[in-house]
Amino acid sequence: MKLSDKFILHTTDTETLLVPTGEAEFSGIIRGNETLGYICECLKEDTTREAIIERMKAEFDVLQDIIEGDVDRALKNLRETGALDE
Amino acid sequence: MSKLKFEDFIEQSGQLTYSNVGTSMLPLLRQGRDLFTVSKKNAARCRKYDVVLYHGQNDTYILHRIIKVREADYVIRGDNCITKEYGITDDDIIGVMTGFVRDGKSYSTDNTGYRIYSVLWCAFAPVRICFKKMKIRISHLKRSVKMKIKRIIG
Repeated sequence: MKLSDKFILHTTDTETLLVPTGEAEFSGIIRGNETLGYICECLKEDTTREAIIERMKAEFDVLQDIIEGDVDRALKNLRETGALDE
Repeated sequence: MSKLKFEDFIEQSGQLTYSNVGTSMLPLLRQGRDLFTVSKKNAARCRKYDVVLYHGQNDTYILHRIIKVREADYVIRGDNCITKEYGITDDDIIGVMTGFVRDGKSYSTDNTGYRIYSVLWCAFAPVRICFKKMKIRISHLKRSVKMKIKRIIG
């Protein structure tokens, strides 16, 4: 799976924004924190849920359950808004 | 999920970062590639060269540049447009562009390079528009000649 090219990822100092282009059916903004930003960065290239979790485990000193929960929640939201190409 | 209008979002958050649709703000904003940030308009009047988000007809939103500030309204035109829009008042304006993102890099509208671009782009607009109109006329002429030839042959 990969982040759809119908969305533009933008990271500011305080938040991560995923903005649809005119081609996306979704009209709104996906706003999130640094974690969402990291997951979206991983999704710039074709990847899997497991690969994202592994990268996050290596990057952040957080329990696996928490990472899995964050990744699943983010992927669910991205999927629902059509921001994932699978 | 609650759906907010642009103006409500800007009212709540103070600013909005979004993508543009169309070609009217080329070459500054490219559809599907660039983002713009609009901040809530304050009580002060907008200035010449400001890019503003305002309400158009049929509940549309338009992001174009102010090319003239008049006592009661503004004269506005897209950077890539030929026609001017008149009668846009302060009440119509939702926000003023304060930044944009090109190729992942953020720029403020206070950026010197951007300000020079704005002034030069507007200064050379008459020449650019003249060329554009000529191009449109030539393409119409070509089309009509092609049609006539088709009619004669067919």
